[in-house]
Amino acid sequence: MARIGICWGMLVLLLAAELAAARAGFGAAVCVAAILMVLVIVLGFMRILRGPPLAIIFALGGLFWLTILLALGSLDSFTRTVVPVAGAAAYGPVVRGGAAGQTKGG
Amino acid sequence: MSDGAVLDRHAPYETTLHRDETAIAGMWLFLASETLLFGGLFLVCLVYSQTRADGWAEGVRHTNLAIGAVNTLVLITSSAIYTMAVEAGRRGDNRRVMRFGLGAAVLGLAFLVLKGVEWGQEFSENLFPGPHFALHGPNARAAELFYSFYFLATFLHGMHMVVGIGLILWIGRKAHQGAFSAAWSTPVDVVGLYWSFVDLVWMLLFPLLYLIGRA
Repeated sequence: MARIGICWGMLVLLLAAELAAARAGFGAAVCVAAILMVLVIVLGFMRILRGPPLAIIFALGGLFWLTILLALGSLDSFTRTVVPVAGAAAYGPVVRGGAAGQTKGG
Repeated sequence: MSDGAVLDRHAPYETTLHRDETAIAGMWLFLASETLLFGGLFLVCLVYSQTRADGWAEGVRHTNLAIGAVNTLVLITSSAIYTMAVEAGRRGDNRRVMRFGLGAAVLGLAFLVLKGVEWGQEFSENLFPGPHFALHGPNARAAELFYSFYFLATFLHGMHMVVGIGLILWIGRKAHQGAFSAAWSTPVDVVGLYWSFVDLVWMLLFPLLYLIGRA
């Protein structure tokens, strides 16, 4: 029971830290707090390390394929270079810091 | 089925331990597939929160942070309480399994009610994507995209909550019948894994929907 109470306390503290970081505009700190919360749940509530070896393999497999999904899925968007094109269509994609009419070039 | 029948029945597994470990591993395999289901949503968020950051952040700023934060606290507490039910199940304490399970289910229900209130506010403010979408200006389309993600993600998560609450109530009923013992409480464990996973998904959705980009 003490373990569960400690995990609950850690999660509440991390939630408070997350809210404070969001208010201060530290997006990276919010992400770190969220990942720590996930770790507390997986290790403290789900007790993956005490599970059968096959369960650990499945959990790591899920994490591996999630990494593949996110990495390959976002690769194209994050590696393109935005090149302004004169006279481009007004309905071109709006990109961060840019305006309508800019198009993306590879 | 009586306790004795469950305890003795392990075919086609070699032992009851093998049977129980397979059930646990099976749930982890299911959760791995769920990870990829929600992973697709996270990918959408990852891409559009970067490529259309201004509009995405405008959407984030319109979500109800107070309800989101309270709901996060409710879900953390629900997950902790159900973990106590798991511990009670391992000791064969059916009464506590039932009580803790009921507590976790009530908190899960509270989460859904609060989410319903929040959705009601958002519908009344015309934040559901469509021709009458409330936000205007250069970032309106990206904010609409955010709200498409928001409603899909919270609906999907809510459906998982409904299933989880149903499973917990089923566990409570079994505990009421005295089904679990120190030698066998695998269903309590398996449902606990599912409920913690639903909690875990919200721990990731909460910052994506309410926090990142708000300041």
